Amino acid sequence: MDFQLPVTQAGTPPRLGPILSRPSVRLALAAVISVAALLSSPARADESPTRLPLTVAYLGETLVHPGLTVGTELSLVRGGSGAIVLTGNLGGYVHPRNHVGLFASAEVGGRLTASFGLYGELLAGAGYLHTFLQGPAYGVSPDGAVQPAADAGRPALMPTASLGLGWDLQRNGVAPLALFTRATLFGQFPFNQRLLPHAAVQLGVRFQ
Amino acid sequence: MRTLATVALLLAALLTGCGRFQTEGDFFFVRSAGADLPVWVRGNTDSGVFMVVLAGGPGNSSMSYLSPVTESLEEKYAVVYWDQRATGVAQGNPTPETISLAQFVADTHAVISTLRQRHDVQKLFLLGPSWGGTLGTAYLLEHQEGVAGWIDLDGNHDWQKNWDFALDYVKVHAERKLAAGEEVDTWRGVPEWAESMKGTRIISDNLWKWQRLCTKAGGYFHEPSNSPGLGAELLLFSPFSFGAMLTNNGIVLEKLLSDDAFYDALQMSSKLSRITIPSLVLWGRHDGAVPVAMAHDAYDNLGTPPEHKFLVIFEKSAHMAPFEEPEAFLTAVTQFIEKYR
Repeated sequence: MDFQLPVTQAGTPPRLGPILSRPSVRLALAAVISVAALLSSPARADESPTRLPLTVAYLGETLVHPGLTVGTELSLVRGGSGAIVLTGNLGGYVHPRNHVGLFASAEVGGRLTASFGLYGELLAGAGYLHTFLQGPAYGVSPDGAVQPAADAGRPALMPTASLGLGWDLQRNGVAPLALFTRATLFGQFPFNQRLLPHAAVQLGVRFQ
Repeated sequence: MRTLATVALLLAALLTGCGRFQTEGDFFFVRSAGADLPVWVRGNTDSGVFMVVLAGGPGNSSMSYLSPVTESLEEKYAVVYWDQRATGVAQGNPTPETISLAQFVADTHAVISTLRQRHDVQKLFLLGPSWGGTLGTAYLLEHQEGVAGWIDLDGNHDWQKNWDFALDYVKVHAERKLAAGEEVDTWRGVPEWAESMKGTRIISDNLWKWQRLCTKAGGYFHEPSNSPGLGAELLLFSPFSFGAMLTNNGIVLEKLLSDDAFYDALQMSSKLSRITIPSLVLWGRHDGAVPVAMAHDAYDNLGTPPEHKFLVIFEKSAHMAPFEEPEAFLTAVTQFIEKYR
């Protein structure tokens, strides 16, 4: 039996009706549009295109298990003292004798900045986490033979949430930098069929 | 930028390089049926004498058993700490079907096989506290060969039989409190409840109620100040993970309470006669979790010849004699190992 893929005519717009009719989607869209309307202001004609900033941070899983994260961010909406930002991050950390985690994640959230540069932010998102055992691994075959086990790592979904505090030095023309610290909670699923919570602290700098 | 990178590197070197948990001993994983089991071998491996710790709970990490008393043992022997599937800081994503007593036995065998490959194991002893006593008993029913001695520390070799003894413990404690007019609100109705629970299959609600009462009665620590707690070194500078402890804690217990085949396999009193290797039965007089009546049940039913089995009761201990009477515990274990090494 043959299966035919549905053919879409060139130029036909995607059918969003069924998706938009879902109450949860409409509610989420309404919330985003409302916040955007509150924060947005007319762009100045002389505003130059914004360069994507580079973010580099020490990532301490449970504070002391060292790691690094690099990323960038995009201001989706900016107005007055507030902004909605979208971040993209790549990172990793080492929990000695437990595991090594490598991840790619994205977060979206709000940031409020005071006139003198201090800012607070709340971000949430999701990512992909791949963990490797931090140590040699062995397997035992049914006949009792012990052999080194290859470790290709284990994939996991990584929900994240971060609460941050920072200082935007660009706000007062000191330097095109922002210093920040974030308390981050992220999950690892599945782990023994459940969600393993991790806590982390980030100390970083954003080059703007 | 260069300064930041230097600081980050120094911090990383400092944090990864410190702590005995991160540097000492031989550390490796055993991959078994979807689980990654961490194994930590410490102490005097040159002695050829290895004591394998089977952690309790089920759910505990064997790393939490590291204490001055086990470090004293490490001066003479190698001590092997490892975490069972879905407990402690064991990793992986094993399916619910593999949470069974048979798989725990298979895992133990895999760990011991790997240990024998990596080290010159001449004499091997098993130490099974509490749930570790359940696992140790199950293991020895299948694999006594090559095990020089069994150290059963407050081990629960028969969950249904122990349930009645454990209910009796809180009942007697409640009756004493009520007779003395102490903590009446806490203990009122407990004797009747405990009596009504005898002979029933353990279910989680009843088990949690009993556990709260047992803790209040001092059934885990005879002297609460003897509890070692979780130190900062274990929480921060070790393979231990608080998140993993929270996630893993309860998985095995929930499974065994809901899986009749698993639960039925835990009733091993009538099978103890098949265990014939030298055995040391250690118990706290005031143990409420696995009361001392179970010590006599173990000692009497083990098939070990009388001249090769020993019973030691710690008079000032509840469920955690290594922390409550470390010297007496150390003496008993050392004498036993020296006799059969």
